[in-house]
Amino acid sequence: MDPKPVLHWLPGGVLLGAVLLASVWVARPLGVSTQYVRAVGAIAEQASPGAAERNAYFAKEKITFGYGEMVVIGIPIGALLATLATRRRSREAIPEPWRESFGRSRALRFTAAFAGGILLLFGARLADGCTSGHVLSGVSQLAVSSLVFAAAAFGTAVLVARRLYPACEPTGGRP
Amino acid sequence: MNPLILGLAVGIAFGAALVLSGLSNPRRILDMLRLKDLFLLRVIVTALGTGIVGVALLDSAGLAHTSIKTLHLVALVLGGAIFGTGFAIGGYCPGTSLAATAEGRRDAPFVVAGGLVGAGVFALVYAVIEPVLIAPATYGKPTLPSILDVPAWPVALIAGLLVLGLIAAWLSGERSRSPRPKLRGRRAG
Repeated sequence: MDPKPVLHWLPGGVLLGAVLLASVWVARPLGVSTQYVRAVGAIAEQASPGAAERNAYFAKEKITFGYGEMVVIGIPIGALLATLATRRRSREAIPEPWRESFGRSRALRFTAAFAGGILLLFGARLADGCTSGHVLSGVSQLAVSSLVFAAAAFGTAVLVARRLYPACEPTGGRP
Repeated sequence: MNPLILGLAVGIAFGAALVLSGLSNPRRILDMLRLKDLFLLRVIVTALGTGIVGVALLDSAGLAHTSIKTLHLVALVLGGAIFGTGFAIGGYCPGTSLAATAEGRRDAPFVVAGGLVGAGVFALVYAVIEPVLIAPATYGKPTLPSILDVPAWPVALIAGLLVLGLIAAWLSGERSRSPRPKLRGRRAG
């Protein structure tokens, strides 16, 4: 069984909002999905010098290294520190709703996770943002583009999740 | 201060917040998306309320570095739907999969690897789909206040009050369910 979250939702949400505000104050809003593009672009450039300039999308997004890239490097470091500090290292391979619907096959779960990752980043790049850049940062700035993305992403996710993982009955926020 | 150091510090805080709030746990994401346990919805709504009011305050003090994304209507709806499908399959988003990988979750690195592939595929097809799916239906960089033609603060104030109302309702709901409400931790579903 996975452990309960360390924080109640109220301090947890305020903490997350405060991190966004710190970023907006010191440099720029938070974003993660552009850095996947820059990582791929940097790999392509290593494999074949000039690739980053030949590809129209790499040229548009500019394969650079700066504040935003350091944020994304910091994410796993902060996650690891928080995990060690709270002694809550997870070894879980298959989340419970997935197991209920699709069983205990790790191969199936890992394949689906990989496919999910492809859709996640393809969709995020088409929309020019993800849950960080659009939902957290964009909605906080009341951007219309981000409100459209949030509605489309969460609306679709709920429809798909209700199909994939039929819930017994809604319990609101109850444990 | 050096932007690289600032970025690292903000990233570390962000990664820690994703783990401590429960957002890096795919079971909680999937239980939210199948509308079984809305714990993380409360986290997200609270974060957005904090963000909306905070950004408006920073902006009015001249301290905000804002960046509004362009309204490409078709690309946003289609991209959001593709993103949402991947979100519902994996239970992770691009940021939480990185945090969850560090947390030790064994399915999370597959999401990260798939994400790199997805970003690469998008770069390959960008030149073909840009004129068809992204360039048409482009409407600049509007915000809610700009399309309503009002200053930002009343919109932020109303949004902040709505979130405060939700927080109060959720807290009183918790209080009526348990005799001694705890502000730290809760039972797993």
